[in-house]
Amino acid sequence: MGILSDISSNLQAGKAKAVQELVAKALEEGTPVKDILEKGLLHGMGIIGEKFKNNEVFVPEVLIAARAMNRGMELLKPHFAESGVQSRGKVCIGTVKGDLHDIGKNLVKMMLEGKGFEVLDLGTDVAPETFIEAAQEQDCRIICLSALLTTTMSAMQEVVKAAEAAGIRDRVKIMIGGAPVTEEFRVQIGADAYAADAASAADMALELVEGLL
Amino acid sequence: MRELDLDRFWADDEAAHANNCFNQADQLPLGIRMSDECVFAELGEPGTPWMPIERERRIQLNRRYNDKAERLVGKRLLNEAFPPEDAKLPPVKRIGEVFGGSYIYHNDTEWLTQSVHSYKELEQLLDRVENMDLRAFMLPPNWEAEKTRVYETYGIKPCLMRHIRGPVTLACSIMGTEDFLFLVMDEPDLAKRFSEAIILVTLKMARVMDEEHGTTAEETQGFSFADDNCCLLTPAMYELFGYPVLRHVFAVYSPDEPDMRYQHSDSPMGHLLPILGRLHLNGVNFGPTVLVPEIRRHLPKARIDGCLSPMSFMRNDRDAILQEIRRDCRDALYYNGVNIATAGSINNGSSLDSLRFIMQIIQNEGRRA
Repeated sequence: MGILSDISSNLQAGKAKAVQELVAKALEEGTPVKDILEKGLLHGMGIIGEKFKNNEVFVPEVLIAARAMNRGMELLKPHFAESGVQSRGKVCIGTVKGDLHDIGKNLVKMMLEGKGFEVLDLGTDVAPETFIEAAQEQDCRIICLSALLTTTMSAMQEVVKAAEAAGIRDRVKIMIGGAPVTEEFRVQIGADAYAADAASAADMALELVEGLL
Repeated sequence: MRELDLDRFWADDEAAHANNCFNQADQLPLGIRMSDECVFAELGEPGTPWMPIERERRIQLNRRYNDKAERLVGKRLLNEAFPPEDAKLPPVKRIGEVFGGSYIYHNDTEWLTQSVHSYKELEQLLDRVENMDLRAFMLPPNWEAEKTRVYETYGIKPCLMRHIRGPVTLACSIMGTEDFLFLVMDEPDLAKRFSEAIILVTLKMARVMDEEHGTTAEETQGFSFADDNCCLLTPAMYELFGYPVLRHVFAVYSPDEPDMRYQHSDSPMGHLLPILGRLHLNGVNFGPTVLVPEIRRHLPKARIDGCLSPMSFMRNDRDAILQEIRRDCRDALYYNGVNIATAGSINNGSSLDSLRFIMQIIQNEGRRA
């Protein structure tokens, strides 16, 4: 357990180089890939996510932890197929049409990756049809929509409508978030989940794919 | 609650603003005066709230809005006196442009574009900025002639620069938010240089406009920052990057206690309050997650403009408005120096009916006498 807890603690401290070296060493020692992923990288990111939710750490600490996780993942990913490691599913994420803000969306992306999801980042100013095409082509289980402006949050409803029109609403969940967005707004536009912060978004995504929501 | 007595409300409100809202006036002060963007939803008119609109239409919309406001809340709230087009001076370059960005409109919203994509590019940008002739860069070629014409025709002088986009929000635009945060963590010396360049540029730009207006820092004091993104930094990072900018600019433009030292950041600011406390701010407007007792602990002399959630106001959610204004009235009566307002900018959709309701709550529950 020593090296796995070292990976987790170095990841929490944002020490990318150390995480990379430890993951390489763990692979050399024959530590199961699934353990390195779940008990090392995802464990560390999960702790950071909880701390972020509880205001014990701030955005920069999440960023450097995610960067460290990505360095470790770069080494680990080539071994996923042979080890039978599977992601928790694909999620596509983007900031809606008209809105160029990206930090909230990026934080959610990091938290989702920290929960084991494979995340397709569509960027900012994303048209409704782009979300739908990505969800269909990549077989995404969730579409995550971010908006920071009161003038752009209405674009979220267009994505919900586009998903209905494309006939994918029964197999793709839609989750929304951003400063002006509320649970009441979610109900109004017919989305499946609203998350108040990035860490909650990742927890909620897990519940969505497990059918708990 | 008793019915709202409009005449009495506004008479009491005038007295309530004395001494930067630190007083024992009969009634608590109301800080909400709505904004131009609210005309569209209130009047059911098409239009986008954040795009500049033609002068005649602006005046017509504001006049109709004010007619309604006068009936509902007893006051004409929005400006109706806009100078004619030819009284406008040609645009002066802004701080984001000094740092290589451009102000563009995208989807009817103004954005400052990113200008650097690597630490190397940032170093090159700072080399240019530190040696820039800011006066020559800021003022357009026809400036002198236009300045003279506008002053002689209308008596209008160039505007001062006493309010800018804050250092963290500026840096996030110029570098991209994540790259900027990595910069402060990974390359603190370069981040410090960036911060120092912002200090230099801010002071020089403000001085150019002082000279153009015909005043000095000593004669016309006060400065304010709008820095929504500063909440993204840890206290240590803010101490390194943001705090020095405010400290230096306030030292020049707000050296004495009554001089305005104002920060607007409609975001979760709780973790930065201890640092902001050292700047002796005397006016703040933060996001709705940080409330009067917490702010007052760190900023004993700051007028607190807040803390109604702008979203409660925009949704015209009477239950939430009642609950939040009641809370703020209780806090204001206890802590003093609270100007009942939204915690952040007012959005299109916030109605005059809701404003009237807020006034009624204040008149009923925000009184000392």
